[in-house]
Amino acid sequence: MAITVTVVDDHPAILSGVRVWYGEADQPIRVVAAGTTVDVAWTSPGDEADVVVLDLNVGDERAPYQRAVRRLVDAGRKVIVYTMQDSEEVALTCLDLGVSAFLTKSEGHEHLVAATIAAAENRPYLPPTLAGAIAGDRGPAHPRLSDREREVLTQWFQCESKQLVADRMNITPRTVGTYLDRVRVKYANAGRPAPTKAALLARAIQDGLVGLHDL
Amino acid sequence: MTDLAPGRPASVIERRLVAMTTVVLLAVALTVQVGLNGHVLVVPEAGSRTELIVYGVLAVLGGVCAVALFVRGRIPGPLRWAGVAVLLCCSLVMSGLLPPHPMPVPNHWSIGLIGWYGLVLLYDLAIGWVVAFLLAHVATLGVSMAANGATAVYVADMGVTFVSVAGFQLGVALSARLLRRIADDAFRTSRAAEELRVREEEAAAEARNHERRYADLSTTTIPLLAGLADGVLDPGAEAVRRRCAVEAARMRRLLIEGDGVADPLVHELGAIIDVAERHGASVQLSVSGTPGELPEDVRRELLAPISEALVTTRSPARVTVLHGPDQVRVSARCAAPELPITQPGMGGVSLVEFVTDGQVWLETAWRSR
Repeated sequence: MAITVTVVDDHPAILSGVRVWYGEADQPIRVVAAGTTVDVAWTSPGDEADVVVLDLNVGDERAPYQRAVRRLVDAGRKVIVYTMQDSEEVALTCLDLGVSAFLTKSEGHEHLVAATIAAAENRPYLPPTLAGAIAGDRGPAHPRLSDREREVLTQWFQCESKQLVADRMNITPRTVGTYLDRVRVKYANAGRPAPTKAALLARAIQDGLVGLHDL
Repeated sequence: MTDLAPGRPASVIERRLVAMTTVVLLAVALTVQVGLNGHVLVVPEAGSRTELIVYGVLAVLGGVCAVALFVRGRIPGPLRWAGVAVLLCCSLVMSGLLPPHPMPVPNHWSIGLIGWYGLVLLYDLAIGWVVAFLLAHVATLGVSMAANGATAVYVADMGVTFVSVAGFQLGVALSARLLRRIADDAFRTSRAAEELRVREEEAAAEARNHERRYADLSTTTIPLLAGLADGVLDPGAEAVRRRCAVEAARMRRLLIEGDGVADPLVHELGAIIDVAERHGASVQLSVSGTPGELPEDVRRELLAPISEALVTTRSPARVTVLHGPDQVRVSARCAAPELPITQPGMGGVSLVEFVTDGQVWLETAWRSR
């Protein structure tokens, strides 16, 4: 069964591009609704979609992006923030609010497809820019990462290729992915509680990615 | 003494001068109390019990002021205003004791003493406060005398006594303005000297910096330009063109060094990317973390190999900067250049070069501890 997506973006080229990328994905992904405001995610047929891909209007003080994201996440919606913003602060804020993934538009479309599939399955996905934000995170509430996790995170941020990181660190690309997933799950276990975070944690335990004692 | 000069910050010199003068004034007040008015303790007289109490209260006030000046170097605000209230009460009590006609033993000993203590408490404020205090003091005296039915001659006599004492005290209070002017002059002179010294040091540092930059260029850019001018180097040769690109990026980076931006590393990297993009590369830059202090030579060594790779590639490149808590890492991933990358030579910067499938992944890193 196809994964259904609602796309919120004010640029028609992005909407078209996203449809094409999803159309070319190995796994069927269908855009059921698209629009320029977040209302499209609250009305039929967009309100039934598995995943909401949301562009942020960070500068709009009348409608702060945090409110829109929090409302969706608190309703149990799986949100992928897809934005021109590459601010670490915005990325970490979105992560704390409970989004499934934070992606910048300068990152390759393969990350959007992979993040959408992961979000639909409550599995973690850590795109390179978000990995960079986490690697540079000096906030007081950030989770404790091992040296190895931090190194994988940094190298993934630098080269955007799990294969290159694996070659350089003499591990398999699968192990690289496991490290990244564990870091992502640690962030789901930190800060403000959200239903999406709980679902991600539950799935991670079910998949054996982390044990209860790790949390 | 925060109230020292309303409307402008008091200089350190001013604070010290005023504090020292306040200590001297307190010494004067205590000397007047013990030396000139100590007779209150020994001369038995009608009504002396009240006088003794006032004498004691003033002595305690003097002691408290001495402790405050010794411990904190100034009279705290609450003590100042409580002290003024106590002084005016003492003035009132003592004025009430004055008989309507002159007595053989003068019992107006407190007039001058209260004025001196008032000066101790109010010296660091504007002169108007001292004037107001002395006026309140004389008003208390005048009203009490009038109420007691004192003779005009006696009131005039007391007026002369008061003016001779309080006038002198007012003159002393005016010296505070002089002190402030002296302090202002001293402060301005020392600040001008300090600014001159800083400017000289800046100029010397700038000169050293110019020399260093020239030294940098003399080993690389100048031989290249000389070679091109002499016709020894072929501008069409790939290696020469690459050297030109590298030198252009180096000069561009040197020109913007010290621009005073929040993240000089990324600022200089931006200049390199600008040159690289003019040569046909498409560069995606991602920066993470909060920039910290980075020595200039470290910055140069972190960027040198990255710059070489970027300006000689025409492929898409990903460049990242990570400011960690104890390290800085700069990375570039692009198509591998044909010529090897220069190794960083100093500043404790490490270089990792990872080449695979025609791609080079360079990382320079520096640990702050």
